[in-house]
Amino acid sequence: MNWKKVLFPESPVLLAAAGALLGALAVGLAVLGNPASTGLCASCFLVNVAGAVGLHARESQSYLRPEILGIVLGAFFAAQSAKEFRVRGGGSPVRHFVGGAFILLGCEVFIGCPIKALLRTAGGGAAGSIGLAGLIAGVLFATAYLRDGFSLPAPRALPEGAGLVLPAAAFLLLALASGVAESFAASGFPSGARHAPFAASAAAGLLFGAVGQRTRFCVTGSVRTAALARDFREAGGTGAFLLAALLLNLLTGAFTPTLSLEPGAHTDLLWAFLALAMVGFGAILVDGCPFRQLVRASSGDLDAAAAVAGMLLAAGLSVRWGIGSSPAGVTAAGKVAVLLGVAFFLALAALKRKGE
Amino acid sequence: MEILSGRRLTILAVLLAAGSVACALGVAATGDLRLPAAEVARQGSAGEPDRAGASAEVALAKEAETGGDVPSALAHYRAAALLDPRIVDPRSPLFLGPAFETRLKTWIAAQKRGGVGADQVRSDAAYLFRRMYGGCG
Repeated sequence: MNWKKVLFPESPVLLAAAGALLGALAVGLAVLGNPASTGLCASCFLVNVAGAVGLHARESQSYLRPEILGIVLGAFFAAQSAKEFRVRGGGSPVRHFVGGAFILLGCEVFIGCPIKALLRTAGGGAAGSIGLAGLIAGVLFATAYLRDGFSLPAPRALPEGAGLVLPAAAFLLLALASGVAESFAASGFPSGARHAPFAASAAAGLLFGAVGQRTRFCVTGSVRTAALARDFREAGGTGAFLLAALLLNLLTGAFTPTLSLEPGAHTDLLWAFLALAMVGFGAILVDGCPFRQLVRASSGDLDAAAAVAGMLLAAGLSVRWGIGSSPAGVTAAGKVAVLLGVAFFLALAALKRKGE
Repeated sequence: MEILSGRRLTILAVLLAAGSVACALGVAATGDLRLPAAEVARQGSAGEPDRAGASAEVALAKEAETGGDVPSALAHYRAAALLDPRIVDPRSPLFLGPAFETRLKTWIAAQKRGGVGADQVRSDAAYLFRRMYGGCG
């Protein structure tokens, strides 16, 4: 086996295999105990982490997700091993922070990040499919601004220590949660959310992070690259993720084509579409969906770390302010958040182009 | 030259952004924008779940169920779940139980076969089902 090709995957076959692996892992975690279609959902997991560290008080949505901590550590080690850990930042931290917050809020109105949109579609959910369509529409609209010269200020190199904060925090929290300080963890972190066994979640998280870092796995990014550069290799990885999840759902009997019986979802199709359209549009402008922001932050990108901080804060506010949707439907606060997010990203797109 | 480029893109962004803000103000003015929104508060984000209210609704649901009035029972179960979602959370000690889960699936199957067809009944049963499984936590 040519390990260089595995460590630096560029071929369509390897990228598709990596996507299929991630899809299979995600379905596996749902079988092992994660909520339905939530084997891998960066936004849901951030909401759970926000609850675990006290940013909101809804215990049923609180859990110090080992998947998130694993993603951070997996991406960090992968970046280190490939000599891609480069600390940079200062390009546009405020825009990333606010953009990350709106992206998270959009995900919570839809109930899931772009990866969960794939998983919901693979489970047969009509609202999931509509959300995925909205996501693609948002990304394609954003590419018009990219073609027209949109860009955020380039980050600059920063001292290495700053980039180690997030991986170090993830390591510490993972160690606490895994029982190094079991009693502290038990008393300190509410953990009412449905979850797979700790070890399986942590191991899967490490793989998600490492594979995600090496393959640049990103649902929105893959659509952007296909649309802008006619390079379909990343989109092949996203397609393989969807296909693997669909096949496994068919095999395990978890595939149910439905509009009204999609577990944990709402049936407000217009807002499912609009929310993920906003997420797709915004994710292109700040260079990554929630999962990709986590991976980039773990690889030393402090602008992405600002986006992660914005997402974590928004995760807490989403629950506290009633922005996140529930199976009962989309709240008024959620609708306002989506509309303000659309306005924010449109203003950003209009203002940050060459010659404007 | 593409149709969407340069000044046209800027104008489009400004118009859409203005429209979005106007719609947001419209929702804020006409919608239920108390923070948190009323329904979410009932679900326990900020306010406590209304356990007594939910118990009363469950009692009414069981009464309706005993009388064979499934549509009414489902409406009361839904009202109870909105007041205290723990009654449809299998992790909670307040969960209505596996027997309820089985009956709910039976009712849903009956609706699919066309036995009980009213829109509200379908909506109530589907809500309880969606609430019971999945979500972000």
